[in-house]
Amino acid sequence: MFKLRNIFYRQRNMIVLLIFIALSSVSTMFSGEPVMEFASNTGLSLVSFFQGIATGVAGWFSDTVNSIGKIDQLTRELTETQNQLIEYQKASLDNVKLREENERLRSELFLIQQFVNTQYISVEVVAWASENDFSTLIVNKGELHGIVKDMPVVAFQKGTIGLVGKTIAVGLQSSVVRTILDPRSFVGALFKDTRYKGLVNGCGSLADYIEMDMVSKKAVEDLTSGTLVVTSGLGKLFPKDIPIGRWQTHYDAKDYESVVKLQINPVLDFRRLEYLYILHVEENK
Amino acid sequence: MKNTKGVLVALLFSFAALILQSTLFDFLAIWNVKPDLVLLVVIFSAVRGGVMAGQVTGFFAGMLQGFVSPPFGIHALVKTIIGHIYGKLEGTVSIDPFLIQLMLALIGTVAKTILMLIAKMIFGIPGLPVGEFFATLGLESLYTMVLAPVVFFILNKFVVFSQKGMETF
Repeated sequence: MFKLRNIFYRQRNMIVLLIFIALSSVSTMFSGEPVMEFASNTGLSLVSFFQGIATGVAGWFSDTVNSIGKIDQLTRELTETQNQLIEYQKASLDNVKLREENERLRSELFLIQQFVNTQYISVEVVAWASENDFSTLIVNKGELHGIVKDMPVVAFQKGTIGLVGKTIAVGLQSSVVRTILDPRSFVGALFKDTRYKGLVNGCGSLADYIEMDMVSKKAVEDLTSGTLVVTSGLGKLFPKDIPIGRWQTHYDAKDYESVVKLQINPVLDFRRLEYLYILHVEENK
Repeated sequence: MKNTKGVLVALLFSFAALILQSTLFDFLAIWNVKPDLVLLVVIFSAVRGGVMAGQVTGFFAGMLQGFVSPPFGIHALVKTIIGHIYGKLEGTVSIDPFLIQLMLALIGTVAKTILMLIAKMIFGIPGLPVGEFFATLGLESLYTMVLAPVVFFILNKFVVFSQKGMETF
């Protein structure tokens, strides 16, 4: 008996191993059976309770890490969007520049079509006489570019050409232009439709109109609102038929006078002038 | 009976490892392959506590694993055998050197996978296709090896066995 116990004691590792192997093999073989399934499900319920806790903790950490990642991602997206916005703003500015360039080129084309035999010099406005005074302006070309005193100046705006004024002083690299807004400016003009003549005179840059004086009273009867006033070509300073402005409705006349004074709205917005064209009138003749 | 406490603590760690393995490591899985943390606990218990500690830890840890990873019993079978074999190393191999830890984890993972394959064949349980099997084996071995020093370091702090485990359990 003692001998048997001694053998069991010495071989206990092997005996336990065999028991465990047997138990696990039986469990595996009968793993689909109801009894084993019951044991398995009970064990699973116990384990799944702790799994739930662990999943909750892991999920919390995961959410926290993901939130940090998401903030980082959102920050990067915001930076990218801001960069894109800057790019779009640049593109928008480029677009504006291109549009201006296009407008300028179209005006040149229009000018070429309008005055086939007229040579012109394209100039850019570099300064006004003073901040809010649009009576005189300075352009970036002068005597070296062929500009002389008393040359007519025109501009192109909103699809139409209009008279700006004339050069009154010329330097080597720049010239001074007196606009038709200047009270010292006088331009021979006529109504494009009725051909009644008059004299256009500036009222200063603060007024939003110019005056057309010496117009026959009869002319007023034939006028309609918006009638175009153009250069008459008389005096040979300005070429014929350059638009100056449009008559609206107002006129000033005294009973005893045979002529009236009309208010004309210039076709050009002088505050927005950028590129001008100085015409060689001699060629036009 | 000195090692009873060590085995119980090892079983607690096996349970914790099982919970971690089935929850947290779902997030940390590489190509759907997770390390076998339970196996590392069994190896530690066996090498430190001896054959009896190893096979007891292996059996019960395997049974626990069967609850979440059917079929029930097959993990117990494999881990019992591994616990028994690794237990033979008690007193001859020190688990502390880094390289030994890697080797123990590598051999353990390969042995577990082969034993599992054999057991599945014996019990007629379908397994992975051959290509996928070897890819999984390689990745699992690598992943388990990487984590082995960390797991052994933690176990070393909490699981204490006497020098002659076989005799004292």
